[in-house]
Amino acid sequence: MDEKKIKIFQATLDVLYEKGLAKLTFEDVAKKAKVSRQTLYKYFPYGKDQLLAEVVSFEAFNWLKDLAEHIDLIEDFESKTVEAVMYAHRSLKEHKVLNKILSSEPEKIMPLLAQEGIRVVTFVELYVVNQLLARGLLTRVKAELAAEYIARMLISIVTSPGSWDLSDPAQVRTVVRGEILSPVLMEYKDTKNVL
Amino acid sequence: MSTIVTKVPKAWVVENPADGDVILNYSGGDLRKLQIINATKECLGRFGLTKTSVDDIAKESGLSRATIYRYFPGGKDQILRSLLFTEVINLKKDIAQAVSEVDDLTTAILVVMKLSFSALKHNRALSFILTHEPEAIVSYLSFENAERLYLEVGSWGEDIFGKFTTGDSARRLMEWLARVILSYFVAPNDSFDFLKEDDLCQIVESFILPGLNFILARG
Repeated sequence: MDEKKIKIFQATLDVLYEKGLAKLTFEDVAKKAKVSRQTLYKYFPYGKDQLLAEVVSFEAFNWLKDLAEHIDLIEDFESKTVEAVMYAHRSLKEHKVLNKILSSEPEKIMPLLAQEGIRVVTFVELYVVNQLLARGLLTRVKAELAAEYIARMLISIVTSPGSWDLSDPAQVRTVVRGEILSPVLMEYKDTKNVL
Repeated sequence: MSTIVTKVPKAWVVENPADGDVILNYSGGDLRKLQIINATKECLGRFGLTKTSVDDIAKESGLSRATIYRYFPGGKDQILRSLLFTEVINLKKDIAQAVSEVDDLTTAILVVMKLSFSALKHNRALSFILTHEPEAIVSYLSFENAERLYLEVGSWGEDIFGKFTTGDSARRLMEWLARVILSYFVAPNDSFDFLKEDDLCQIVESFILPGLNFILARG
């Protein structure tokens, strides 16, 4: 991705934090990014909607990349998953722009997140399938269905923890072992698994 | 007055429990709320989630905007939350009844899932929204709204599964099922149909039972 586009995305996030989603204008972003409005329109001919959709994608991609790097070195599948949940939850909570808009203009950002959410689930699914297959935990067909389920549960718990305190490692390990990794429990050599 | 009475559904109106304001009395105010909620359901089934306005609801219910805001000062958002919880509480009664007639936990789980998916499928408002504005459902039923739902549904755990397992496991199981049901409802997977016995059994056996046995073994 070219430097200028990244600068524009950064500027967009800044303006979103300062003015919010509804009040953001191309003018604001151009000024912040120190580019001309023509330049902005060149990158985003469809205007504000396109810019917003793409900045959400940009952030989501960065978030996932960051998350994947963070858990990369953890060998044990269960521990990898535990760390993924904790880190994902923590980083979402600490995302200033996201939280500001979620609290002030949720109805404006939800549709964008929902749209991006589908891509996020697919990414997580692929990651999990690869993990399952690499560890010989399930056959291909079973791995795909299981990965989809696991991805759904991961996103559900990270975005809406409900009764789970995701800052508590013990609780996270509990929900990872029970609800999230349920489909692979039999295959996973866990001596505490009693049937 | 008699026309309002005949439209009264079987459940009372329930405010978002998180606000600590559960209405269970059969009073004039509640009848009005029910009237508004029923009108909202009609509008959602006809216009969808985004296009339904308080004016539409006013017209459908025969009440003024002022009246509607008097009962729901939070406007459309608050009405939608009440509608959601009212529907959900109605479902609880059906589920509790069905599970009381069942002898083992696995069957109870199957019953809960089948009834939930069936209720969701046959809800006209939801069907309309899912067909015409699926992203609206996803965005409405995520983050905080979904959390409130999970906490509420989780609290039924003991009532539904109490005879099979302890309070904590029951609550956990209930919240878990709510997550699975909600996730597969808002974004279905084409390879299985939760209303088909075989598919449902397969899902429960592959995805739920292993983890459940693990949860139960630890008490």
